[in-house]
Amino acid sequence: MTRLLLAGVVSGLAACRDKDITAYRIPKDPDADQVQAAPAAAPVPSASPAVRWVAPAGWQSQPATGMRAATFLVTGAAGATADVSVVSFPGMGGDDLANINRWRNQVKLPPITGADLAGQTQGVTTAAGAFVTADLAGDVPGKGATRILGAWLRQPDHVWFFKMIGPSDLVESQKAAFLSFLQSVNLAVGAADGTPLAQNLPGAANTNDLPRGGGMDSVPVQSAAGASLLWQAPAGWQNQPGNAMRKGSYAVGGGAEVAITAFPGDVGGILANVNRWRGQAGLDPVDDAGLAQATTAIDANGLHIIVVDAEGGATAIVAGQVPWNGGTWFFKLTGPTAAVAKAKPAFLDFLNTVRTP
Amino acid sequence: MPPARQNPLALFTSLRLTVVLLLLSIVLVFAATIDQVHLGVWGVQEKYFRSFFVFLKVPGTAFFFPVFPGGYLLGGVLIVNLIAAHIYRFRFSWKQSGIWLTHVGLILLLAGEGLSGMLQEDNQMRIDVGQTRRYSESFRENELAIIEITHPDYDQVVSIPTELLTGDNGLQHPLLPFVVKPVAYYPNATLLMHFQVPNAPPSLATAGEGDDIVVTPVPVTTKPDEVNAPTGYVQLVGPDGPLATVLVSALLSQPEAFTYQGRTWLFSLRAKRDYLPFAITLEKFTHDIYPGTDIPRDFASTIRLRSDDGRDDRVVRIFMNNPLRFGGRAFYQAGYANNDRTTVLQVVRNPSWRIPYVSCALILLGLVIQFGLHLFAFFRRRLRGSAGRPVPGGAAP
Repeated sequence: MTRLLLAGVVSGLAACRDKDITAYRIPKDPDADQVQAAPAAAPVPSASPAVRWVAPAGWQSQPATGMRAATFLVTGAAGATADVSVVSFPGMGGDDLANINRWRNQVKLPPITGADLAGQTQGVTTAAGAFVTADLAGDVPGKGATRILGAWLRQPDHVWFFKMIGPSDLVESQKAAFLSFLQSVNLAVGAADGTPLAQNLPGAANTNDLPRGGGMDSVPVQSAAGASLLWQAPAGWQNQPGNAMRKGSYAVGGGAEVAITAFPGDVGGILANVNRWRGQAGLDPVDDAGLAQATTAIDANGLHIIVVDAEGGATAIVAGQVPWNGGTWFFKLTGPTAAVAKAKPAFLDFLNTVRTP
Repeated sequence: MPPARQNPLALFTSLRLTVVLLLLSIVLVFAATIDQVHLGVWGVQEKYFRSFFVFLKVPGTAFFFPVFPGGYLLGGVLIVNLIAAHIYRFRFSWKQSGIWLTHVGLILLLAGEGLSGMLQEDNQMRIDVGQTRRYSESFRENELAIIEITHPDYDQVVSIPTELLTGDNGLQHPLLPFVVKPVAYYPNATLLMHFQVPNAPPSLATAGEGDDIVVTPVPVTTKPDEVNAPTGYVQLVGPDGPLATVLVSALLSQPEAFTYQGRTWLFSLRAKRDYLPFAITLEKFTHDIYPGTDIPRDFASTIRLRSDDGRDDRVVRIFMNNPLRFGGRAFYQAGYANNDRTTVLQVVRNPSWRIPYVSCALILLGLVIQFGLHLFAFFRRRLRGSAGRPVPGGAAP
């Protein structure tokens, strides 16, 4: 009690603890946060759904995303590809009928009832436990004959889903590989002999790499609230507050507007930005040789602003971009062609007012 | 002492003020103790003690009204009162040096506790046997970690405190080529697959697996054995408008990924991490109980400590009341889990941790001096008295 009370001394400075955006680097250290060799112990339930497997040769590991613990790309003849996903989901993940009908729906098969379920699933027993597997083939509009090889493994508080989906021929050719993949699955929860998982790994190649971590290499970076360029908007432009994405926003009449944004780096480079705007205006892209003809430049207050005039379709864009302070600032006039044409002189004058603080 | 009506500053020297402050403190502690059932220990600290006023919400409105002085106000006035009274009432003399030292120790104790409230960070570290960890995690604070995994040698992390996800403002950082705009944020939520909730509205997510997940906000829990699962949606906005909306949640076992301009980021909503310049590997965990009971007698972690600069590589045993102090942090043995295969260390970072020790030493020294002086004076009087006292049986003058 006394300690709680004493905590009130001094001032509300504690409330001033930084709530700022920060940045740091983490080296990709394969040793860090990995389970290392440890004394043998009795198998016990694990709070974390750690899992290891060995992916078959030819399966290309993709970055893990969302609910997915792993994604593999399987490539077959004529560039056909199949997708293999490993998904962990807390809870029971629906009953067998729901799982089957979900996958049937993905290959455009009608749902089944519980009475038909027995013929739809098989069991595969592995060291990790008893998988329920399914092999479903259907015809997906636009994709043709599509097949799913799926399996799920229930744990006390998690369900693991393993699924391959792709063209029927390719999936059929990968069935043995998929089943061997299931056999290689090793869950921390189910490690029957309590052997640390790392000892079961045949090598680092083509295995999942969970979780990521490493030593700290803290790198100070500049503050998120960086300095801003300054400008003088024409009196007739109406300031439009409330757009958090923009550094400035004005309605210039006739449905046209000026938006001012800034992003770190070169945002793809001048050519990419020019072609993006040309594309939005319905114009063909230009190459390096055509860039000079598609752009002009304004030198204002020590800033070299590249100006793009992309007028030709229903929507017109006149935009300026200038590198400054490690980022790129964009000043973009866009709207109906007539309104943009009318506002263009004022916009170019406006660009001449842009200056550094 | 000048009367209060003549000198307003004299109010701060008043002993009556001291009594009033202590009474108010008792009421504050009592009310906080009762409210702990609803808010939990951390919520109570923030509402009652680490605040200038205790606010109550006006029913039916969004307004909060101050109803009672908070810990910062009471403690701050108390320390001013203590210092002022000391300056006004006491004049330094060697006879009162003990009282001086005791008061200096008391003031230092109050100030030190305030500094702890301001500077102390409490994290935890859960390590499985054989596992190596290089970071601790906050008990209460969460972050949206936007991790660029493009570089082959390192991950670039941009950490956004979840407090910033409650606003409408776009969040921008020089290392991100897009603005992160909060769309929705729930301090606690559950996730279900869409097929489990057929009538759920469409997901706000437009990229990743989030469009197949239903987010259901649930009340924030304050129970010590439960954790909240913060969840939300953020929209990524590029130079030409929205790029994608992704689901972020502490419940996602793997964070959502987003690729843009040839670079890939992961979006992980997680407990705020404090990366350490050293690695800790749990080599062994022991847990002894009193025979015939479940009462722990001793539990200890044998860890291997390796600093990144190579200066330290040693084995340390952390057990109850014997923390490891290293790198400006103290690692206490706090708990265990997973059938004794996981240790839970409390990691405390408090630059002012020595102040209470110094304070107590000063108070002890002051009391020893003060009582010593009194004792010395007592013996002197006694000796003097016995020297002048008539000898029993002696001749009367």
